[in-house]
Amino acid sequence: MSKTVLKKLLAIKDESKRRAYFIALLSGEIARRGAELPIVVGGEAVELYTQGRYTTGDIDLKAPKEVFEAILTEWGFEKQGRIWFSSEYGLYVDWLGGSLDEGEEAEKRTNIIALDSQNEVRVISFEDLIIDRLCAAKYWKDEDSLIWAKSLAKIAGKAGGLDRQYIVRRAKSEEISDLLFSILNEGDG
Amino acid sequence: MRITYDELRKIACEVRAEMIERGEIDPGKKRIRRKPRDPEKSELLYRMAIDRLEQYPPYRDDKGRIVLPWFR
Repeated sequence: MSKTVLKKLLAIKDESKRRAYFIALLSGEIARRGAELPIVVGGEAVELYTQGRYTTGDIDLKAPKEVFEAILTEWGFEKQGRIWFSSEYGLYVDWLGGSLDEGEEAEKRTNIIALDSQNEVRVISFEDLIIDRLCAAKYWKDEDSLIWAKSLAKIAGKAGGLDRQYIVRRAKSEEISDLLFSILNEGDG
Repeated sequence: MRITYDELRKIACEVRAEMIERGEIDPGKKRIRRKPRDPEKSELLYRMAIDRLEQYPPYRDDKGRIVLPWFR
């Protein structure tokens, strides 16, 4: 894997898809070096699940620090604080730590999105992402987050369903059961 | 769960269409973010905007209209 592969990304016109392929290439390289696959979280996870409907354009990632930093340095990325960026490729990665704040159970629940037979990305589960958005809706009065949570619940419903027992338990511990039931009672998820 | 990107795209498009039809999403409504961003994230977004401006500088066409190439 080298910078020449990254150059091929520039041929992908769809920005959202280009970022997804970048994450897949990075994930593949991290795995090749024997570390855990990184996990896409935050806005980029919403973007992947809702397919181009939500974006700031940066990539929120949980990844093992040493191998992550070694690869991006080899690929010519610059570092500023926790942010890694390549102005050349228009890629901006926000490194948010080595593991999910939600814990080991959440890490076991992550989903895999296959871009093709060789490229895949690991994403925080629908359930944990919905809880994250509902927390923003409740504690920051962020109405938009509520709509995204609802969207995610509907998409999850059509993509295999939500683990209701788990999400209800998490909502209870975050004291957002009221919001969770308001989106689940509308017929999906 | 394992799902393909294309399957997900199809489902996401269906859901969006349904939500618009039911009035749950108003594509014309201005969206305002209430959750604050931390300083590093704000700095990142500023850098992204500046990089884009440099890579795709705005210009005026022959009728004097401002063209923003990033959105083309």
